[in-house]
Amino acid sequence: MDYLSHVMWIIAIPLLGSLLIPVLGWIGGKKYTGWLAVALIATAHILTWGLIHQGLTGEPVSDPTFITFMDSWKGCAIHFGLNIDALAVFMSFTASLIATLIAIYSLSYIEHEEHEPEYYFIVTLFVGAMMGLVFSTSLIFIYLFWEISALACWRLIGYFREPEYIWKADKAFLLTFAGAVLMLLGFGLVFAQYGSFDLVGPDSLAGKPIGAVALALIMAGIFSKSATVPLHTWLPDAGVAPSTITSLLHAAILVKIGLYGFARMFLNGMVIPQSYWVWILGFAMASAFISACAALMETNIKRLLAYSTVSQIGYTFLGLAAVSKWGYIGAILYIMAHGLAKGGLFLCAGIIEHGTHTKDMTKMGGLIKKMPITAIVYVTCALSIAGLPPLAGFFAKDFVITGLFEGHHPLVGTMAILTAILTLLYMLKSFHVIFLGQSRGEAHHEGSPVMVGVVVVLAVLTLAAGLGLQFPWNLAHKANEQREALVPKTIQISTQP
Amino acid sequence: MLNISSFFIIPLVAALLMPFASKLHKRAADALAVLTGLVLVALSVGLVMGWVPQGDYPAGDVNALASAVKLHADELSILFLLVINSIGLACLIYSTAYLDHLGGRAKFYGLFLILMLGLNGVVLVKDLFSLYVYLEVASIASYILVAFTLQFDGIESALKYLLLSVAGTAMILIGIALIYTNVGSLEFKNIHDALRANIAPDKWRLYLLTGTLFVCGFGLKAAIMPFHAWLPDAHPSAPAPVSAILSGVVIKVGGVYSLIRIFLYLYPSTPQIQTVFIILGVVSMAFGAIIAYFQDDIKRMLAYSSISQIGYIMIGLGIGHPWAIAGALFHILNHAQFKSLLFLNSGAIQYRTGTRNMTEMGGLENRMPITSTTSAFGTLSIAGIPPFNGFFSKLLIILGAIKAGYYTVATLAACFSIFTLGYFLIIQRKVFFGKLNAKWKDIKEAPAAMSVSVILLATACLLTGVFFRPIMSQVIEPAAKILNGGN
Repeated sequence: MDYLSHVMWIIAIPLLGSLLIPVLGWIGGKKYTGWLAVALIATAHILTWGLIHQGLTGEPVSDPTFITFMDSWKGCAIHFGLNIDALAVFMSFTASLIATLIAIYSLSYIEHEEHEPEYYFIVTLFVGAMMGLVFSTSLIFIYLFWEISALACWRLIGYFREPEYIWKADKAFLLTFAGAVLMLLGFGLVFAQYGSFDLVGPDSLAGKPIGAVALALIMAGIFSKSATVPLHTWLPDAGVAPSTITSLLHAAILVKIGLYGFARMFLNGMVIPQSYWVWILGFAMASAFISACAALMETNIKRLLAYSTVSQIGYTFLGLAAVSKWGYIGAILYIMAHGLAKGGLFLCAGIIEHGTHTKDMTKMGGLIKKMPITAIVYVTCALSIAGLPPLAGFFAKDFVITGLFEGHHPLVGTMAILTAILTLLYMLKSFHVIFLGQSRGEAHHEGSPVMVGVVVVLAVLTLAAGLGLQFPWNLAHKANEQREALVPKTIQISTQP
Repeated sequence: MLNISSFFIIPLVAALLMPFASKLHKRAADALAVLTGLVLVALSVGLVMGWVPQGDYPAGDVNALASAVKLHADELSILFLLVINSIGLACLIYSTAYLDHLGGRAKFYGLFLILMLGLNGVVLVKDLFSLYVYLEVASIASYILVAFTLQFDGIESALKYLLLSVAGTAMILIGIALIYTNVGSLEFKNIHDALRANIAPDKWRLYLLTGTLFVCGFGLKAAIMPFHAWLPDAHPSAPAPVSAILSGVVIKVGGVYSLIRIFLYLYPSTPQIQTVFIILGVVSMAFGAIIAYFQDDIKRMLAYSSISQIGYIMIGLGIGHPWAIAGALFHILNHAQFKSLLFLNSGAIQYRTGTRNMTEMGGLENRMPITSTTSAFGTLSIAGIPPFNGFFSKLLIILGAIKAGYYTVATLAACFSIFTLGYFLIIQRKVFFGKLNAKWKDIKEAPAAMSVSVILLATACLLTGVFFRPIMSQVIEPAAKILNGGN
């Protein structure tokens, strides 16, 4: 089985297939554009199943010169390379799974809106960009897919054309674009130093230490994309988008790009000198803690969930920045656990918004009687994020904290535990305000069967990923082994006292 | 029969036939104009593919015709011929509908074809004096085209354009005279050889004096800051297809092509001229973008943005690294596509709403979906978002700057592309998204011919980006190879 061409299909089906959607809308098949999008994304997801065996057992398969794009053109070799390792398999599987569920939910949620073909076109393009980014080996192609996702996110956040919403979409686009351009400059500096853009292959950047300026520039891009304090402000504002989109941004694709990029570039590629790690840990900790406090104060349900995302992303960065076995495994599992749970929460928020026509939590209350299934899903996902066993979030959070202590960062570890308590607090508060107590609004109704069905699937998956941890754990463990094999032992700072 | 002189003869014959065609029927004039454009594009593509001979024309020993203009299409000329004729065709297609409310078909097409003739001449001739002559042919046609509406601001800005250009051409002419007295010939080959043959110390004075004259003169034609004052008036007040070709093509052929031909081909490259190019480029890029940000008039914003993008091209040329030069040449091709696209779109909006003021617009996307989508393409291209074409040219310029050690320049170029995105998002927000202004609730999409032309350009923006590699190897690299530092 040729895995490389298999992966090529995973990228090409959503990326190029998305172009069919506006054509279908144009020739009068507006009603079917949603089904086409679901079919394309689901096909990509089903194809990722074929990689799992390889991810679990095989060595990484990579071809850094899959397409020789600018081969040795005056010393500027830009290749489109593909790399299939456990991390990439895990990420593509998780992201496409959640994206498929969200696309199915959209069938009911986006019905009767204007610009329906545009919505499905951009969503499918978005998934294609994510798949491309996950398997790319060249920094230039990582940047290329990174920017395609930024432009998709611009159109999706501004999907409802209120002037204020358009402004917020522009803000998100400008902020992430600015970060990405700085990142590109950082790539340029790396290229000027080592003469290569490839993360694997003969002149790979793996194991090469990078300078402080290049690191700062690249981190600006990563932090702006994954909404880490202080570049996080666009993410709560992006809540003006349709709930499906916020769900997609938070759970499946956008903010995960930053995390994945960090893991790909710095834990499986270039080396950050030891003394700089403390800065990354500091930013991640500040992000996790400050935004947890902000979430505690919010009354807008989508902004609360957005701040919670900023906090959880900070947590994931903590796991990665611990540079230890448990931290890394924890961070990878966290990407999945947070994706499933946050996806479920935002889709629940979508159901609530449809039913109550408000995002203000103080105007809700007592919804558990009207929306019992949504309430159960909400509390399951919220508790997973807060880290209650046996849900998936518990194990991820536990591993990250273990990893922090393993990496000899006891102070950060303690702060992380404190943040976990805050998380439980605001999650329970939001559940209490929305679903319990007296009803403060007019008549509400449960969401449509499709919407409720999707959120139930997400809640079940959250529970299943916790109970059947073995399967994701195996992949994450394999990813960690591959990371350790790649980076020379001397740089494994955490193993030294 | 097919040779490079067709690039003059065909538009000239078509321009002469135009009054008769328009007497016949107004659609006959349209058909003739579009057909001419198509033939010229086919010829340019034929040159790239090698179907049309590049060689000297008239061929052979031409001492008997010592006064005749000699033509030669080298790789740099081919790149520019492609730009001129493809954008010209798009503008001609667009004009067939746009002229419905303007009238004067025969005059417009005649002048437009003479403008294209002049531009084709500039890039095909083999000596400096003929270059000057064809530059004037193109300029005179464009002065009249700017004033074509015969409204006050059009005539005023055409006069301003004319007066400032005359100062520029005077400097160019003095520079040419100085070259002639020192070298004894104006043929490119002779100048090229003479300036490299014996490096006498007094050559330096010649470089300095003529260099200054040429930078100022052609800089004025290219609207590089601080020689840009005419452009923000002339480009907005012209009819839309004229603005498109002025911003997309004329400033590049009249100004940038001549600067490339002189400083990167005829003259040996010196660090001084590189520094001058970089400084002028950075100033144009930065201030063009900053001023554009504060405009309410959509066409003025686009005009200032042209100045800013010309700055990128100058930076790429000044850096002198092969990647940066290839990036600059590629940016010439790309900027021609997306800037013409954006000007034609602004024309479509003006055609329907009658205004250029962005604060009066809003919510036009549902009324004009094609215009809205294609301008989103243009916006993403000019800001350098992959996979659109602007990304690759800016990437090459920035990588070249880093590779050559100009870190500050690279950072500025990157930061101003953020700024560019910022002000182009203003256009998107104010014009297309947002609430529909009640005034415009009955407007319709632009006429079919205008839509066809913008769709062609928008597709070109995307495809040039996606098929970046073959375009680089077929068109850009051969052109860069013949330049100093491009190899």
